[in-house]
Amino acid sequence: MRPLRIELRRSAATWVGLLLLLVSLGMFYITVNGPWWKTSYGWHASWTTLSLWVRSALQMMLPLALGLGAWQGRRDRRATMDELLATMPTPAWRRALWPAGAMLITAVGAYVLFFVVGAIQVRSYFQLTWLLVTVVGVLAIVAFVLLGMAIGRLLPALVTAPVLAILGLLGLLVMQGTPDQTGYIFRGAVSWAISLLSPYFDGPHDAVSQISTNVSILQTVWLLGLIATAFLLFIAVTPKARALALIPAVVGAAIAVPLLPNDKASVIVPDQETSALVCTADLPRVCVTHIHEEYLPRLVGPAREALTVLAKLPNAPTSVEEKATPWSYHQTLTRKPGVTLVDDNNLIFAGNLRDKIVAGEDVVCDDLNAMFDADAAHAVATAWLIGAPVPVDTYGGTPRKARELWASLQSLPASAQPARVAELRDTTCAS
Amino acid sequence: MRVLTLYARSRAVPQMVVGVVLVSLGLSLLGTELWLIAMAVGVGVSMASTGLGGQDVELDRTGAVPWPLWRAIHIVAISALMVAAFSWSGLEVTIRAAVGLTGLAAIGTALLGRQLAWLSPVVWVLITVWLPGTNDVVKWLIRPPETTASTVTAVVLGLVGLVCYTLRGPARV
Repeated sequence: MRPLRIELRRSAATWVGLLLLLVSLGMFYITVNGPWWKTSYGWHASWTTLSLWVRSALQMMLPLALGLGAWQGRRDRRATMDELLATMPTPAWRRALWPAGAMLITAVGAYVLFFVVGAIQVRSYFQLTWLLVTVVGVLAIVAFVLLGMAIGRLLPALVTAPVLAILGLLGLLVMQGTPDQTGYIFRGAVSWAISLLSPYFDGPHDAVSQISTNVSILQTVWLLGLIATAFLLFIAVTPKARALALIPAVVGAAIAVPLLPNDKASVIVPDQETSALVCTADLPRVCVTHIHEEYLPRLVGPAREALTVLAKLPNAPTSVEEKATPWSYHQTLTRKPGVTLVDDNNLIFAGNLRDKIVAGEDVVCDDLNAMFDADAAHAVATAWLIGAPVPVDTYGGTPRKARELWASLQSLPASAQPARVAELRDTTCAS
Repeated sequence: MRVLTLYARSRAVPQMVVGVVLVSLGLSLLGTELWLIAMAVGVGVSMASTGLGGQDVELDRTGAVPWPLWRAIHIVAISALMVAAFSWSGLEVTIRAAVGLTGLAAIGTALLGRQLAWLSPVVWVLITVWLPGTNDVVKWLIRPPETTASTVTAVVLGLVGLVCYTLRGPARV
């Protein structure tokens, strides 16, 4: 234990941990409190949400862990001590244990402290899934620190550390290039299964979905292989030992890749507990998700008023439900007959909830113009339904489109108008 | 001339130039996005920053050489090399990135020494890539070239770095 204490006190390990914590936590607080993430789900809404959010901070931690590990890994060579140390009677793996151990304690400590900052604020929903997600995050930190140290020892130049850090960043970005990332420079660079080998995964950032357990277990297998390879590489001295060191990672990848799912729907799955619907006992039925149970009284009045307004339409909806669609699935919304959905953000933040429900489901499209056109169609439908003289609520600067739709609607005979309005209200990205 | 050769050799300038050229060739294949330029200049500056101090800082200081002048020229030379190596998509953004990131590396050298000087440019590149939003100051590396606030940020970083490093030199670590 004494060498470990010396390492912790005298080496750069403590500073590495502090830097990882400060940079990632600072960056995270700016990100999560910024206007980009004004959603109804706090990052500490539930234990699962918390663990997923903390893991998304790996985007900053992993490149730095790689670079700082490389910087630390070349220490013996930098001090031209490696030949002298090699004459010690202690085996290489035991000599490597202390410097690596010190680095891992502080780096993992940074991750755990980050998690604790959220854990003391967490509201509810203790599910054990958070543990698995966090284990994957911790293993990722361990793997990248050790990999950095191994490469730093192999290529003991000063430039190794920054080059590795930036390469790590580039690697993470390339691994984000799954086939569904429209408009992304690396789109299609990797399949879903390959991209899951990268432990950094941005999401799901809501409280109604989570990462499939299957994926987390396979990621654990792969990361354990990677850790073994990195450690063996760190202590290897002969070219043969270096080649043999690659085996665990190859085996881990060979097990994980064929078994990892190759589509998004199997990676992000609904959280059965938080997304279960809680409904009113009396008709017309109004429902919210379990995690938003407290907002049911707020929804009931406006929802029923909205249903009265919507009764003018053919096949009018008879109940209102909160949309419990997993994160980033807005485009593949499945509609249930007789149900109109309300967005969780509208449920909690919207001022005129009735008009929001009357307008129909908010659409989120990759193509901004399609989204603005859909908004215009929804605004026209709302105006017609609530009897406002002009389209009331048009976002995105397409009042021209709204006026066109309004004029064409007015030119229809009165009997054909309700059907057309129902159509406008259902406008999605594609149409 | 002889002093210049010895200086360049002691700061591993030839190896650094070769490295920067290789990085430039490699990354130029990937595309012309602004963040790619930022990343490329970030690597280049980090590589170059290892030459901002000698093997022995204390020993260097005993030399009868006008060090502030040499340091200032070294910083300007790094910026110029970055512009020459990485301007494959647009001159304005590369000049801005080169000036600002070299300044950051110079600040890093003055505070942490040449071995860890790469931390400041690399951390800023990481923030630039991952932070959402379009803040002109924080994301100065990847805002459109005509953005005044971004240009001002780069110039301020460049000047602060130049002054710090010229006056203080590499930190004694």
